Amino acid sequence: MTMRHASTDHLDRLTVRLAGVAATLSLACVLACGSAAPQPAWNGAAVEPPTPAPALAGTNWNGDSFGLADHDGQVRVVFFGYTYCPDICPMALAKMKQLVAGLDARAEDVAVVFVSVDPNRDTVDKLSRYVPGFDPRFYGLHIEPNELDAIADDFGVTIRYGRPPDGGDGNRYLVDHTGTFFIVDRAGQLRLTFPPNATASEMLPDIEILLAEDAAA
Amino acid sequence: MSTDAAAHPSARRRRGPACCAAAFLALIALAGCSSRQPAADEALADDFVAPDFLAPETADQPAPGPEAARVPLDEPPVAELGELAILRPRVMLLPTSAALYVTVVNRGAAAERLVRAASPSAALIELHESVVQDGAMRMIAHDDGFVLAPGGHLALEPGGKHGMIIEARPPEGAESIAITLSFEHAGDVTVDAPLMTASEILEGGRR
Repeated sequence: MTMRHASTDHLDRLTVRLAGVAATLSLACVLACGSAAPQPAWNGAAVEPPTPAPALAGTNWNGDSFGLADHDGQVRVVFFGYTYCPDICPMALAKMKQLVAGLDARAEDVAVVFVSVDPNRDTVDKLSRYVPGFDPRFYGLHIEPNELDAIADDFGVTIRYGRPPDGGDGNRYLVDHTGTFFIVDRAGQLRLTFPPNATASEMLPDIEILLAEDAAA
Repeated sequence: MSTDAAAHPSARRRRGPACCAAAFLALIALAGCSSRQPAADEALADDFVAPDFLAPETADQPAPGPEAARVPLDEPPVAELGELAILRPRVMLLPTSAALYVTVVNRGAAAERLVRAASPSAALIELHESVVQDGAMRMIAHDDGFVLAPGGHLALEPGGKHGMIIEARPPEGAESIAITLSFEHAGDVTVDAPLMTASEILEGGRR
């Protein structure tokens, strides 16, 4: 060092100082935005800041137990519905079928989770005759009523049971429920929501961005 | 299917790459992006407070179905009844539920009303409408039927007005069932409605 020319030394110190300024600027950026990474232009509504996905556990249509956290490493699409739902729920499942078709081989990194809001009628057996008809890779969860309430609250999902017709079949009622699609990333963070009328082609690019992220992110 | 995401209601809630730009602007305004958090949703029920990750929903939005499932009004009708044209009747049949979709064009100068739909292969068909209310999917029963304005049309389509078919019992191996539509003035017309999967319905229900 002592052998170096004075002007070189000066330049070195300037470089160090500039690097320091750059580091300060980067830190300012990180502090300001929470993340240095630019936010993608999502089609869905971003959950900001991302929050850990609520716990979700139940029995899948094939009798296996299911836990949402057991699927860390996969992107998860969670939505609520019931098998007697005549209009919206089948459309939601058909959209999921379009979505996984669009993902092709990457579909194995995505878990589609249909949560029944009607555990009294949607037994595991009933779900087994419904959900795999769309795609056997889809999960269809039966959750006991006392547990379902807490899970729905955690997701911000409302469930209201209609009244059966007077003097008619007591097993015939409608269920009002939140139709939001909840998107959970590989690391288990709730990242996006989509309204019930979103299309598969709107969801696909967002899912692809999340699939490109590191699971440990 | 629509790929025009900008026209979609969800586009209103899109949060652009503002953070990226703000990274540069952060020098000037360190406050940057932290104010972009969505406002907490309004309470959905008296005792319910939505978590703040639930995006706000406009109350009572109709729940428009996918564009691909919409029937062009100039499509050749499968049947005509006076001034009414019946377009693309179809039934979505699932193990536990079934729905009737059809479009009716009123070419007349008088208002008309669809008062009832029925089928020998179903216990009952109720006229319903799916709507989004406070973020929840609701079904509204239209016991008085659906009005067709003069020169207007009625579209029973996924995510909106539809016939909820109760106890659909199509004959073994049937590919379609008979549906009778009853109108206040024009009377009854019976059409053959193909039985379809949800995916076929979502993709337009053409046969």
